[in-house]
Formats: sequence, structure tokens, C-alpha cells
Amino acid sequence: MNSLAPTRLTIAALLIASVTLNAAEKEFDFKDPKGINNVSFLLDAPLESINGNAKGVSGIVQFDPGNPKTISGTITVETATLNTTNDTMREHMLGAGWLDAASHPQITFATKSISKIEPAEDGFSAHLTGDFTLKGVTKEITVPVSFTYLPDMLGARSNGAAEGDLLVVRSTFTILRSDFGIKPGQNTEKVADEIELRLAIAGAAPDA
Amino acid sequence: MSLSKSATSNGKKLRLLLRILGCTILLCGIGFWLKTGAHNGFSKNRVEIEKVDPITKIEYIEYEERFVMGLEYLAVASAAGVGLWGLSFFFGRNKSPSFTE
Repeated sequence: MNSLAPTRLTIAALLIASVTLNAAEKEFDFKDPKGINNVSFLLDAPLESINGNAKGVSGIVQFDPGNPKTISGTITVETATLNTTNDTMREHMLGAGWLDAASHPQITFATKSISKIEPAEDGFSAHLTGDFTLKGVTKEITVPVSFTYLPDMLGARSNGAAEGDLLVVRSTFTILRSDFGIKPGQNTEKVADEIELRLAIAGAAPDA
Repeated sequence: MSLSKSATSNGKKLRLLLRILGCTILLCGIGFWLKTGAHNGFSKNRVEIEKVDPITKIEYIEYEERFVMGLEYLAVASAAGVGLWGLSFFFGRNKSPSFTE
């Protein structure tokens, strides 16, 4: 009986430690009722420059402010929310020939690992590696990301409706549309192969 | 002879009308293009307005539904104006005496 006591103590200690560690990790919801979260895109072809943005951002990210190495989650953009300043251009972009929004309604990024973590003002910067899925094609990419942690700022953003923390994520990176099977090698004089994506989103973690 | 004079007079009127119409289309096209911002690209159905969220400092875009004329409409207006002006040269010319007399 006495020989079991140290084992029980160890298990109890591990359980307490586990609960303490989990308590530090927060779940940030990136669904934004204010419509501020956005991903903008820029294509600069020799004959035409196309830019626009998407606001249908959602996703859940697990983040521990004290241990950013454990970050994980998925960010999703509804393809149909991609917008430009020209209706005809938008219609073509979402059509079957290009993004085929009807068959591929979501663009996603699912995190796999984080590296090169460096402290920055109000947060840190890092390189995030994950699976990027566009038009049904998934590729592993590594993107530079900056995280700004804003503790107890949810109240100010929600006009007091909820208290909690905010996590602002920003990233600018480039992909090639040809890598995702979007008319590879075609119309490159008007629609550049290189697409610059700028992500600026904020997630909320309400207090339990 | 009088018929010929009448035809020439009508032709001159048509020529003048075509030139006025050509100039009007060209000037209206340029005027509307300048008025909507002299946009150096394709037409826009909506205009981007940049905003910044005061809490998160996220820059975001809001769209204002407003038509901005692009270069393609300006090109069409210019082509129509110049085309009508060019067409006017086919009307109201004085025929040479060897054919009229």
C-alpha cells in the first residue's frame, strides 16, 4: 500500500501540471461579425493589375501566449467572398474556368509547425508551416507570420459585450496559381501567375 | 440643278450634324472619365475605401457602390467620336463642275 503512494502522488502532480498547462492555452475564434478580418490579393501582370479581397474568414486557433511553439489551428476563407472592383472580373474569377467557387467553396490553411520564433512589439514573429488548399489542391507552404497578443481587449472591440483576449495575425506571402492548377501557363499577360496574399485577421478568446 | 443643290445642302447639314455628334460623344466621354476620377485602368463598379480598426489596427477595405469609368469606355467614346467625324467627310462635298454642269 505504502509503495503505491509515490506513484499516486506522481500521477496527481502530472494531472495538476496538465490542467495548469491547458489552462494557459486559449482558443481563438476568427469568425468576425464586424467584417474586418480580411485577406487581400494582388496580381500584377504586364497588361493588367488585379486586386481585391475576401472577408469570409473563419477558423479556430489554439494559442498559448506563454508558449507560442504550441500554436495550432486552421483558417478558412469562403471562396465566394472574394471581391474585386469590377463585377465582370469577379464573375470570371469565381467561375469554373478560374477558381470554380461552386465546386471548391473554401480556401484553407492548416498549421503543422512553427519555427524562427522571435519576439516583437506586443507579440512575436515566426515562420508557420502548414497545408494550403486552393481549388482542391493542397500544398505545404511556409509563410512569415506576425502575432500580436492583446490581453483583455475583446471588451473594447465588442463594446463590452464580452470580455477576453484578442490575437491579431498578419502575414504576407506569395503563391503561384499554376501550383494549384489554375490555368497554368495561360493568360499570364493579363492574369499574373504570382499572387501576393496579405492576411490581416483577429481572433477572439472570450473569458470562460 | 436645283435637286443637286438641295442634295448638297442636305449633305452639308448631315456633315455638320455628324461632326457635332462626334465632338459631343468625344467630349462627353472625356468629361465623364475625368469626372469619375480619370481612372487609368478598367471600369469599376465599386470603389475601395481603406479603413483601420482602432483596436486591432487591422487595415481593411469597405466598398462603396459607385461607377468609375475606365479606359475601355474612353476608347469606345473616342473611337465613336472620331469615326463620326471621319464619316462626315463623305457628305456635303461640292461636286466638281465637270459632273454637275
